[in-house]
Amino acid sequence: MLREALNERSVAVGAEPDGWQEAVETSGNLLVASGTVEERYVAAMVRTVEELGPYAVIAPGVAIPHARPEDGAKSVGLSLAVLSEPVEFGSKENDPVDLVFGFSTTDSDAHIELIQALADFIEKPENTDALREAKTAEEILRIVERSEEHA
Amino acid sequence: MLKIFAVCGMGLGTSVILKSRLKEALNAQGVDYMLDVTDASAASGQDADIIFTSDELAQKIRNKKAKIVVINNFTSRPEIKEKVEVAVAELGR
Repeated sequence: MLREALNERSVAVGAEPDGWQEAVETSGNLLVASGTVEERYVAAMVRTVEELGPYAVIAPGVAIPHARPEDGAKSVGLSLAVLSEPVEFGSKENDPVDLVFGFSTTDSDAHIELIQALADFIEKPENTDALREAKTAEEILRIVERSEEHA
Repeated sequence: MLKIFAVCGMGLGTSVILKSRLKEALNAQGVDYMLDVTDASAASGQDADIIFTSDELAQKIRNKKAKIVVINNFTSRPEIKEKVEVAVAELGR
């Protein structure tokens, strides 16, 4: 499920964003690169975090920023930016963040299985620890693949 | 019947995860409940028994009747299970 949603264009390792806005933009630009959103979607992701606050940070060190389907989503999509320098989103419990999973969906149902698979992946510390150690996009994709074989 | 709300920003990301985790925990508890997802302003006017949400959104909810429970790690089944058990017990169900 997750492995099919990710590819070499939607995954990046070693990003060094200056603050949470750039971190969100990095994950959004990966969605643009893999063709699941229009460029305007990226700015909408940043606005969404501004409006709703740091609650996009769902687990220690992990954020899942997104915007609305009508903000330029073309299909259900997922991206992952692994940051080499963690950033602060303003989350009391879960800052700082170094794993940013951007996502897009075309309606309120299309992405549900994907998001649930993502939550199950993030819940296991061995998965998030492995992502933090990864040096290349290929390694990231292998970690995701292995986790789903064992699921 | 317990009236339970999961409060989220947009109903697309965190709420999807929270809803499925809450369902699992409530079903395991064997309580009679209804579960809905809503946003912070709508939740303030709801006739609710328990509201689950994030620390940041909890501060925006003005609901005197409901018990407001803050979830920190939305992916964590153990955290959500424990907080559901405590909240349900405190309501005497």
